[in-house]
Amino acid sequence: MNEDATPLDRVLAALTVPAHPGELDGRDRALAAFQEAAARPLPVSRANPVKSARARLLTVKTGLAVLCVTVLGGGVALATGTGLTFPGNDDGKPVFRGEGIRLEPKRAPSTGSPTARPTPSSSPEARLAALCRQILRDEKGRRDGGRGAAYAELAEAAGGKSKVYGYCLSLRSPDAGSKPSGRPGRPSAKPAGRPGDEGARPADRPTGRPGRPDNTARPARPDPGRR
Amino acid sequence: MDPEDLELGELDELVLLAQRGDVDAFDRIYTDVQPRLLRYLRTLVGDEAEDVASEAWLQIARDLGKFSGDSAGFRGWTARIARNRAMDLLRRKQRRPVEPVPLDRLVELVGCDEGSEQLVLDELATDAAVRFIASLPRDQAEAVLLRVLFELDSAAAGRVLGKRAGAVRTAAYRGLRNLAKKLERFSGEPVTLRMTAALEDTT
Repeated sequence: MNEDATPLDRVLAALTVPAHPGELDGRDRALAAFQEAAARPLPVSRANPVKSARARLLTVKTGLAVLCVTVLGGGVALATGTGLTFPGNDDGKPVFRGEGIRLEPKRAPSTGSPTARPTPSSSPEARLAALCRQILRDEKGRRDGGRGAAYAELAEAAGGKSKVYGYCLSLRSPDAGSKPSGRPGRPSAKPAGRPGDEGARPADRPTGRPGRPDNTARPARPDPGRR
Repeated sequence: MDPEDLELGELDELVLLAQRGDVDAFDRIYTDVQPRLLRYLRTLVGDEAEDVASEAWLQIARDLGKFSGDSAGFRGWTARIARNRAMDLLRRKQRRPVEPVPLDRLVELVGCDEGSEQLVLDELATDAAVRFIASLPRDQAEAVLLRVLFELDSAAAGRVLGKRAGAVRTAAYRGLRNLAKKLERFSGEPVTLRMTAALEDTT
């Protein structure tokens, strides 16, 4: 704080200082809630059976098309289980119409299991990239991909398990422009937020789907008569 | 200066990582957001702020995967969740609790020339600042906190409050002016409203 700070400056500075230890007492509970929520699949896929089934079909098609376009060095097989979802891509439109599941690379042997596992690839980079895609794809891919020797290799390349996500995101960022979904978890139909308008409008209604009561979806009432 | 000193771009990335299940990322988000939520909630529900914040975090953890938007939007989203919880509580209680402002501590904070940098870092100073702002009418206190503490612009703060941006801008201005006037009594010197200029929307 500079010397000519006004009393109001000091009050506002005291207001905005970093967390005091006592303010973080609820951390363990919040982290536990997070881990519990992360262990469950995203609730969006069961909000509306018809709508989400259609979205999932489109998603599978889109995902497969993307895989065909972006697969590194070939040799990566992803099974075509119906559980494949790309979070945040529910509203995505397929860039390639009509071919759908048949777009799977023929020379890549399918495991026949919905558990999408990358087959051994010729180069370690391609193997790590494939594992990254699996981990970033969805909760199931994260669970299945987060174990085994390949994951240990990935963690080592990333510089630690906690850095795996960042590493994987950095791997996919160069060709992100060629993908229809942009970054995972972000609906691509909307612009990423204008300067000065934090994109809070969609955020204010995170559900956006029927069938799930949620009090964040309720517009805040200003309570004009109450102080 | 802000509770975790996270750049907004960095928070953006952490939100994305947390949506993929990264617990370390969520932990850092918590450290950034929790002090803001807690201080905001204390001006709304007083001693029950911790319980309300705790409830809010359960919901944040549960709904994080459905959040979309950028990092500033994320802070606004968390503020809105916490506020909805607080409003539920206030509806049951029928009134907003008023906590006494620790005047001696406030005088010490604003009147100190030497070592004021250390003083503002003190937990008691933060407590005094929060209570001091809580002494404002609620609309002014909320507008000031969302603008200064959550670093939202008037439009984003308005979305949290269900108000128009202009109403938030006016309430924040009045709130800061009222704070400055009250502080003049303690410090005995005119207080400029430099922070008001800093709060003006850039657009």
